[in-house]
Amino acid sequence: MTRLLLISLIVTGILANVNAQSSYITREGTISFFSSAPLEDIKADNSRVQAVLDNSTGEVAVRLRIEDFQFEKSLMQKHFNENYMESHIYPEARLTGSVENFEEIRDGSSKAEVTVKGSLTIHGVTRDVEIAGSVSRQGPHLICNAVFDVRLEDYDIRIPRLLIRNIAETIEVTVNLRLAPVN
Amino acid sequence: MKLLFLIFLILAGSFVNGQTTDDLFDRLGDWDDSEALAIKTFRSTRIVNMQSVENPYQGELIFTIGHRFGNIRSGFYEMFGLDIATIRLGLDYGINSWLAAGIGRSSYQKTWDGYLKARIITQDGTLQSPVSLSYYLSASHASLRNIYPADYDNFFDRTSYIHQLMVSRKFSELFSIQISPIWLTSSLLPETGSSVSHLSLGTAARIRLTPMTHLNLEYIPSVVDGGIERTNPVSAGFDIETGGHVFQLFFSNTQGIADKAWLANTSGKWEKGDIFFGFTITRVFYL
Repeated sequence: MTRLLLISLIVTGILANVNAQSSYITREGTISFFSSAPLEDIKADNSRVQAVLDNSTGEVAVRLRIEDFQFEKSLMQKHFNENYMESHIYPEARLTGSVENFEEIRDGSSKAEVTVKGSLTIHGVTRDVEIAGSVSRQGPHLICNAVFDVRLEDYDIRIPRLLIRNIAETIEVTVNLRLAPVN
Repeated sequence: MKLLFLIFLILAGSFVNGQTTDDLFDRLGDWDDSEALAIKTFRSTRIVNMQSVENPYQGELIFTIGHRFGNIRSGFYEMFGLDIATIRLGLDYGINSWLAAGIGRSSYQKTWDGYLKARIITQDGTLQSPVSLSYYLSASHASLRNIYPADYDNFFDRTSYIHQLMVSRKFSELFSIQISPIWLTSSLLPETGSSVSHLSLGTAARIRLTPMTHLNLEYIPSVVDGGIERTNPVSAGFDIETGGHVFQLFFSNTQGIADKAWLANTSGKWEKGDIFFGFTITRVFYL
């Protein structure tokens, strides 16, 4: 019995080890957003997005810092941080969830259409989301792409009346992550 | 023993399953801040009187309208100084990410000024520096007639030069400091009637009051007086950020806006109530 216990301990240890080793990680992913309103189009990029994908469970976690979004106009960036996103109070946005249909990639397919089911936290508000996207293999890397819409109202982001014609109510978010295997 | 095994299995299983998304974030570690630059150490390119370490962003043209009113001590008859105003109009432009240039005109001695300002080091930048460093070179030309003796009245006699280093550290969003040696040199100042080589050591701090309001404190003692007799400028001001511009309100014991004016000609004493109210409005344009 003791031997059985020992064996199962070793097996579990190996399992846990495999689990920890089979992550895909990036610290320089890109997430952009695009707002199209009658008076102006606004675009911003964040190239310091961090993401980790667990190969065995298909769980995924993505985080970014609001302050890392770069705008064409520095003043817009300032207003974005201070007035709308309140990044001094809510510095990060996070997505956690599981990648449905990830098995296809794990089983060797080079590209798969997937859906991430999980929760998205922006501006301190967490909501359940389903995001459709794709995962493809590129050598040892995994490329994750997705485009989805975020309604500002859902995350309690308020636009002053005066600027309602400058800022869209729904923002298009584009995700582009290149994850590297970690051993 | 079987029970123990079962318990162990359940524990081990829950451990393996316990790879929740929180653990996923753990695999990323902490955010690496070594590349993050300290931005907005101060909210404006000027603190109160002296230049801050900040430059306009690249491509930003800042139109600056500065006002200094008269002595508050002058009382109700002068509307506590509001009847008397000196003014400086200025343009500041961010040429690139590290170099800015500006021109200005102030009513004090009808002074024209022009400057170059270079950001040399940014805190926590590629050099892993704990401070930011900028250099400021300014020339000001007094065009008011009949204040210079006839023999000392050419263009260069009327021009003074200021060299300033800005060393600053942003400790947090709440608090920044700056230390600035300021060297004023002039072949002749009408205020003193002699040539001048004067060194001050400016000190300043920013304290955040609300996310959009900051308190600035500034004290600029003389180190080498070099022929200038003055009191040391002591100022307190507020930076109020609103859409599209920073609004600065302040109280100081100097009425000068041009650098030369407050460096050479500060005479007010706070303890005697010689306080001058002033404000600066900036408006940003993108070129």
